[in-house]
Amino acid sequence: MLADYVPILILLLVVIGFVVFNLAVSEILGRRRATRGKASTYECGIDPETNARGRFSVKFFLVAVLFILFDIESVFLIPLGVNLKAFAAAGAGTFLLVEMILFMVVLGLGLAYIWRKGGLEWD
Amino acid sequence: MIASILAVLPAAEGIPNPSIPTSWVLLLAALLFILGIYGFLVRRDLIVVFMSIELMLNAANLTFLAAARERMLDPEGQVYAIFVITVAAVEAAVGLALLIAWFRLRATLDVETAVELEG
Amino acid sequence: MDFRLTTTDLHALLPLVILSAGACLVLLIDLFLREEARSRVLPPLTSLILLGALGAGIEQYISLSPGSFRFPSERLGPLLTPIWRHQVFTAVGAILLCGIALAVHWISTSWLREEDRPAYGEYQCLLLLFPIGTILLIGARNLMLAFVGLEIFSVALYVLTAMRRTRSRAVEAGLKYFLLGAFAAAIFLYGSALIYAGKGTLDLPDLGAISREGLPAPVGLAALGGGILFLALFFKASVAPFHMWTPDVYQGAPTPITALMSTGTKTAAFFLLITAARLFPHEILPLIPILAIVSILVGNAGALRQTDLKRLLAYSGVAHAGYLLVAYCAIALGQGHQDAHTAIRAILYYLAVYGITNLAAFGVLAWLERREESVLTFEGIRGLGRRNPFCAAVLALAALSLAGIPPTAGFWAKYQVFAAALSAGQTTAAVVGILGSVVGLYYYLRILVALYFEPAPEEARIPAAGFAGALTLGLSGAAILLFGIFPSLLVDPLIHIRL
Repeated sequence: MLADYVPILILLLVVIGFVVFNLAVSEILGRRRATRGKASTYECGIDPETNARGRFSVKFFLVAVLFILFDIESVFLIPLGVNLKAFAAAGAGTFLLVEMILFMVVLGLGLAYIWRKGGLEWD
Repeated sequence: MIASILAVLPAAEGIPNPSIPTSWVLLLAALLFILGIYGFLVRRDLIVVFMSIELMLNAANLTFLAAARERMLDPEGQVYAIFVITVAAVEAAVGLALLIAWFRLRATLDVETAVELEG
Repeated sequence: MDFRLTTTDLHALLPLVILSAGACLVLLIDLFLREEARSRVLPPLTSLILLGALGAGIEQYISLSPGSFRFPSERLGPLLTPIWRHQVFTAVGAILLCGIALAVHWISTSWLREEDRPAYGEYQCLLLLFPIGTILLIGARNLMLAFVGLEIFSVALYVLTAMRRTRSRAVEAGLKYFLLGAFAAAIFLYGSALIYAGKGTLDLPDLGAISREGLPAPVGLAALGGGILFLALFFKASVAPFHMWTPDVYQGAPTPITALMSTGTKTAAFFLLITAARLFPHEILPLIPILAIVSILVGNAGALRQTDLKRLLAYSGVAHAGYLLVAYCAIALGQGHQDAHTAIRAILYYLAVYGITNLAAFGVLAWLERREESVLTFEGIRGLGRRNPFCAAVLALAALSLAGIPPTAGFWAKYQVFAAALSAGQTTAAVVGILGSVVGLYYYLRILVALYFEPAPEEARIPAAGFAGALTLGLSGAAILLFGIFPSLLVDPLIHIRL
């Protein structure tokens, strides 16, 4: 029952304790010297040029939408792949393979459609 | 210690960890579902309304998985969850496309502006 | 386990196979042909695909009817048995929905041509997805497959509604439809998840078929899930008080799509209501007659004060959902499955007639709409009887049939529905239904008055319709009269329906 979760609780306490301990120690022992480099946005990289809250181009949404669609399809392929051996042992390996290929063909048709319609072009 | 933590996690095969009763998971799913309905009815930002619907779908998913776990990891329930994920993705794609079309026309995502069709 | 597809399996799936392969083909052609070639190739190809699927459905119907020489061998293989019902019921659904999609396709050809940027391939592909989704919903033995079907046709409809994406009204309608539709889908899904949690299966016959009596009523989680599931179905069928989206979406969507929505979605929703009738928890069964009465009242009251014809038809659709629910009472509350099967036949008859009638009405509206959108009010059809007698006659027939006046098919549809309810003892709902139809006479006759007894406005010209659109209107008008005069033409084919 819940007693099984005591180790997780201990882990949580240890993690929090570690963070608090390190922050406190560096706060107490560390010396502070303000320099120009430290006051800049980040210690490396480029200074930001515009407000970070600027709008994203709609192109990103298109890519995001397409990504969601094709990303989800892998959810179907993984169970198929995992179970292929068991199915083959039961004599249905060909069946599963054909199903898988059909699925991929329909998916490929979708990709071809997007490609041809210019969905993958940035400009 | 790590070994004892791993021992708590569900075993890779066989009966899953029975220490959390299924009814708790079902209750959590019900709360998520109600939260989704609340968000759908109350919030004004279309994106948030949309997210509330996703929350409801995930509540259904959690119910499927909890019920499958209760029935010795019944594959049927787990397969249903995969279907739900896919359908949620399809809805997300169409919904985002509609939101963009709407935003291009009205330059806002406030629900209250959808008042042109009345009579 | 045996994984072979038998020939019966293929036979059972033939309409779906034709439609799916057709949808892929349409997409491919859309990719590789130039614009003018597309506009010449795609519409006839889509007609061909839909006609093929329709033919496959009819062939299934014939071979599944008793007396057919193939009847004993029509058993599905091990792969399809758990998910598909190969029955007359499914075949009738396939015929109805392919017919609806075909009629909508024909109505929309001239409309599509006049668009600024006609999106041929997309439109036809989505139009083909609609019957795929609805047939899946109707034939599914498993609730999850039904859900997938529901989503396929709903998503196609969301996109079709907002197809004219530069028009504010269309996008608003699409967005409203999407948000409320997705909400209903989520409710449907949570309902099925609860049923699964309670019963451990989503197999509809296992959960309780209509023909199996003496099954215990659903209890606990399954009962809760069943109740929630029905809310979603009532939403899809636009039963009051879940009808709020209907008028807005009907008004904003392109008229052919409104025709598809009003006929196809209602048909599919009621088919699933019939097959899932035993999931309804017994505690709230008395709610069904109340919902029927509320729908009839709300629909008729709403329609009385409309001037926009599409909104009027939307509210009339709510009222018609109420009439259908009156017969549904006999399935859900009736004693014995004799009553239930009478009611099922009445509902299917009603759905077929309502489909034909609404396609005729929206077909005329789509024809008139193309010049300017204002013609969709009563103003726009004034004096149409003299300006365009053909259009006016079809619209008048449709209005008479919706009102349920004797020489039309609508009369027999209403008669069967109320008779089924009365014989199952649902007197109150039936009486309210009859009273509601009397109220409905007012606004349907207003259409007739505007058509024939009011002067035409100056310089109102009717654009010429394409051949396909005129053919659809002529056929549906003729069907309204034919089935009105010889109702047995449509009653007899439904006699073999068993669940």
